[in-house]
Amino acid sequence: MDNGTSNSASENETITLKSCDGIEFHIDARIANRYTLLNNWNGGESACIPNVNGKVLEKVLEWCEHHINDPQLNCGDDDSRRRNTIIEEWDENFLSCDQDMLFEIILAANYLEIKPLLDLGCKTVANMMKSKSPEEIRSAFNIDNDYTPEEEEQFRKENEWAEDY
Amino acid sequence: MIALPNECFFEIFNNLKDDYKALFSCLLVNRQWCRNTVSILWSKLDSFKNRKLIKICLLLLNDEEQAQLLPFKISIQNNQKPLFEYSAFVKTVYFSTDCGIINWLDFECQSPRNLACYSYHTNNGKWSMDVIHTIGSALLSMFLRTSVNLKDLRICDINYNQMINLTKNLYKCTTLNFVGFGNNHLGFEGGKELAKILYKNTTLTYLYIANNQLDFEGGKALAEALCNNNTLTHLNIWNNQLGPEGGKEFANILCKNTTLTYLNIGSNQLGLEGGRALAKALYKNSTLTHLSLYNNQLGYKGGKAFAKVLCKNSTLTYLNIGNNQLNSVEGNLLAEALHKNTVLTSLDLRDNKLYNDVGHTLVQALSENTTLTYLFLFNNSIYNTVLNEIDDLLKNNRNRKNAMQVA
Repeated sequence: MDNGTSNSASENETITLKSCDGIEFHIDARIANRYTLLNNWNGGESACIPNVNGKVLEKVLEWCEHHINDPQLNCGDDDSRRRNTIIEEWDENFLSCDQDMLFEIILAANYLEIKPLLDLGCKTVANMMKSKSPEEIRSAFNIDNDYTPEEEEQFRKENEWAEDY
Repeated sequence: MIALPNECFFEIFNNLKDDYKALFSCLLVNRQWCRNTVSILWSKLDSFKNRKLIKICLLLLNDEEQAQLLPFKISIQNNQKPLFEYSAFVKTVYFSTDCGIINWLDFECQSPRNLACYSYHTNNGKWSMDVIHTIGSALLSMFLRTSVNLKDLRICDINYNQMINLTKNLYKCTTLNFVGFGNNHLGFEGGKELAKILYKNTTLTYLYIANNQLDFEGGKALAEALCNNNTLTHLNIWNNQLGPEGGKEFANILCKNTTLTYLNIGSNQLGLEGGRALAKALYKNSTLTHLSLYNNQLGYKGGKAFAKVLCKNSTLTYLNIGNNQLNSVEGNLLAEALHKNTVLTSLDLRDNKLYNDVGHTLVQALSENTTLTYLFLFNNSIYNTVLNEIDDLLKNNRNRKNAMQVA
């Protein structure tokens, strides 16, 4: 975290980022200053961000731009992150994209170390699991069950206390 | 679903850490989800009311712990070992009820193979305390042995005969930050065992041992251990019959120890002698920020000693000397001390014998003092009009403080 220099770049300064599929983005330099990792790929010409494609990077940068004036939380401070449990309306709309995109955003936020966006994405996914049975979760996220029936039964027995804890 | 790295799964499931039901569903989704949820699901066991939880925990007992149950003809059938050693994930244990154990006993004894247990019903159809205590203590021994990540252990209100033995076993946990053993009748022997732990332990920061009849002897052992311990920051030793001599022992720690910031030594019959020793210690100590001496028969001389030290001490931010028979003279001296003291933010003087004259000197003091933000005066004999005046002045101080924090 680099609180001291977060807004040292002037408003008009821009930097160039390139996605892994070669799409260039010119963004406010203050964004890169907030999320230090983005700075590493500043330069555009030859450097591009591996693993993040243009479509996803566009979404991630859209989020960063909207939140450019947010107060910066200390990354190591789990409490201050968790205290913020309410998802703002703008963020909710932003993440009501298709599921693949939601997971892509989480992956990219994790990869680019954009903690608040990672938290937001994870919170959104967690909310989607509430009050669902294992089977409902599997079908909601299109997940295969790789348990043997015996194994599944034993895990159920060993943890069923949690159902009415 | 797009493959996510485990660290992302962990972030997702961590949002559900208080939703045990949701975590249970996630755990049954598939193997990867299971690996990522199981440590979160088991991290905080703050209720042992559920017989199914007791059942699984009993499967984690080793031979020695199981042997404790044999005299009661309870044999744990664990031909099928649990798929994880769940207790290794546990970071928090709050154990303050036997009702899960009782439910487990009731349920297990419905099936014919365990009928032997029935003989441990007492005449009135309840389980004998012996069997309940032994099961509870075997479970707690298991956690102390296997929970390698245990940070917060609270065993309260159970009063097991085996508590002293469990205390001895605390040395096995090398990760503990918080130990709460309130209301357990540890007695002086238990106090001594805890003291032994404190000599060696370097992780414990919070110790709560209120209502344990430690007596002077147990208190003295703990005080001596604290002279050598430099990890503990919070100690609550409320209501333990320490007496005036016990108070002196703790005064002695305050002269030497430089880590303790919180001490609640209320309801310990410290009397004038114990109180005066503690007040004197506050001239030397520059670490303690929170001191509670509620209900200690300090009397007017004790009150004076604290009024005096408040003029000099510059670390204490909270002082409770409620219910100590404080009268006008020492009340006025305390008010005067507030002219000089610039660190104290809370002063608790409830349940004393303070009258309007003290109320007026407090008003005067607060028109000058800008640091005190809370002053508790319930159950004295001060008119409401004066109390309201005091409240307004405290409110001013609070607003000023908030404004400063924002700036």
